[in-house]
Amino acid sequence: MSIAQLEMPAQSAIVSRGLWRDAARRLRRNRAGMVGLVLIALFVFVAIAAPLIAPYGPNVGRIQDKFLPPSPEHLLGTDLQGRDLLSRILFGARSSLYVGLLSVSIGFGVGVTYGALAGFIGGWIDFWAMRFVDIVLAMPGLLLTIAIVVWLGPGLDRIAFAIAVGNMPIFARIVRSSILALKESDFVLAARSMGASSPRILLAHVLPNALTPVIVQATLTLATAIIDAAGLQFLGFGDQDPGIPEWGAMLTDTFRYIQAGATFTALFPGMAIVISVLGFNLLGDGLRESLDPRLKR
Amino acid sequence: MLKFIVRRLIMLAPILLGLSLVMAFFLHLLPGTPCANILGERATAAQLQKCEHNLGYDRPPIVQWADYVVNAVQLDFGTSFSGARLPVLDAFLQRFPATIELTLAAMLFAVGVGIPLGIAAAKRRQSLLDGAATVVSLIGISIPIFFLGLILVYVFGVWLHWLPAGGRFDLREFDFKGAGTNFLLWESLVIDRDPAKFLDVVGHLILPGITLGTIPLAFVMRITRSAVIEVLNEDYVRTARAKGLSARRIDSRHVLRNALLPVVTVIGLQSGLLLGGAVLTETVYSWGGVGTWLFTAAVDKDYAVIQSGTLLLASVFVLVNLAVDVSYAFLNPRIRYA
Repeated sequence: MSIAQLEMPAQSAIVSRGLWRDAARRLRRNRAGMVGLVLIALFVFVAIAAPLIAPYGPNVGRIQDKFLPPSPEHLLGTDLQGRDLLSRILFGARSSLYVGLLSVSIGFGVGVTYGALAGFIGGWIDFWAMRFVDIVLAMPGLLLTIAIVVWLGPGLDRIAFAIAVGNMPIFARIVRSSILALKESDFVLAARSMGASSPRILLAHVLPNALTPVIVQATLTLATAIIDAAGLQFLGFGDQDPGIPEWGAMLTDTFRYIQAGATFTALFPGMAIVISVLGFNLLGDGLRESLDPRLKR
Repeated sequence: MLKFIVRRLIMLAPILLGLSLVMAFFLHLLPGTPCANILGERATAAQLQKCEHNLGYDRPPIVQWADYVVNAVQLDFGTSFSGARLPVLDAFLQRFPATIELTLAAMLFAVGVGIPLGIAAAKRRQSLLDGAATVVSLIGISIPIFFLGLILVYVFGVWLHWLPAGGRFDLREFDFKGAGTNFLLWESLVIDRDPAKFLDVVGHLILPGITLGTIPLAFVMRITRSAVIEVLNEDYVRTARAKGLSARRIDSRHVLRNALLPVVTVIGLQSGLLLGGAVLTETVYSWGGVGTWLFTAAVDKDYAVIQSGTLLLASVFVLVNLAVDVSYAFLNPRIRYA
């Protein structure tokens, strides 16, 4: 094999389309990831378009219509207060999406900043910052979240904040470990030799390269955030006066009356949670595989 | 090895000390003091002040914390304000056996189903079974635990009447006042030697065990599958095949021995998490474990229970993790902790 032949494929490999375009290409070929994307698109569409597609308002109902079985008027039947279950599920997508996005944004923002600074500064600041993370992670999972919600009081915003506090240490750890590896790399040395300031190196060179694993984590965290929020609503920490229905709270309500005449459609808010969470889990796995092709099974 | 264990145990102290400090700070941030809960809503300001003074809540927080640490070292974790007003340690020891039994049931389900399923999926990659296993594990991590619990209660408890829908044993048939260890499996089988009682306790463990074990099942299955796939590609497996060893012997002596190492880690970590209390599962099945105990304490703002309960559970969690690391070294002689 001549040298020219060897160089040909190498040449074409150098023409890179960039990390993200490569990843997007691989994601498009990842069947599970695409299914996840479709489920999420559906979830977001329902959340946005709920007033247009829902046959009734979420809080409209007559008490004499309670627990109607599925019918052409009420495709999934009605609940205890005679409200249309389908409409309430469609509107419920709003609160789930809201809680997921809000909690992940807070957890991501604070966690990434914290972990990036700790890893980049290093030394004893890093050491103590990480010990604090160890302490928070040693607390029993959902109990920390519950304690915070008890402290702040019930409500969707507070639930989101409490879940975010539980997720911050995870984001911080992941970012820190990537940054520790990256800050020793040649391109950082090159940037420093060009006279780039530390903040510039961190923001322009190190951080963008460290974000890949956190973005995967953020997608998977959206899934757990929706589940945790539903769990907290199940325990009674949802909005006390919910203008917008919550899937977790709906599930508790309808299940309580399942012997009193509620039909199997009481299960459907739970199915809605499973489908939306499944979407984020599938996309998260797909993203992980397409951002890091070595993981491909 | 001993050195490693001792060093890890010493490391435990600063983590617990830090945790107690964070908890003390957190509780200090809460509006009011436990006195408001003890005395009720109609307490006068003077009564509140007197109560706070008697219980030491009017001292600077750092002094309160130091006092707490000194007592905790002597295993005095304070007294619960609500219910039977038990010392926190007693209440914990009363509740924890229920959590241990539930964790055992859940892990038994996760391991008993997860490992065989993971092995089968790895050996028949891309088959229908592999696909089904992947779907099961995905749904396992996507279904809210209380939703799964409610479905199981409804189907097997309320509808089919196959299994009890809640509690730890049939209160109308049996009582467990004798030994008081609260390890009901042990008490019914070894102390009382009553098979009917034992089966009743086991029956009550099935649904909660499946509910709580579903997430660990998904993890165990996934790790087993990928570990087996990796080991099957190793040279020594090919060598074993070339030597003409039987498939069964290759599986048991060469593949599983190596593939199960990472699985042990996952089992340990998951057990540690489950021992931390399963608030949702315990709520669905009215299970008197540490999860509902701490949950109620948080709602009632029962400071002593929140503070010490968290600390005790965190110690358990850290100790379980240490046990995992140690067992790992025993299972894999290539690992030596210096």
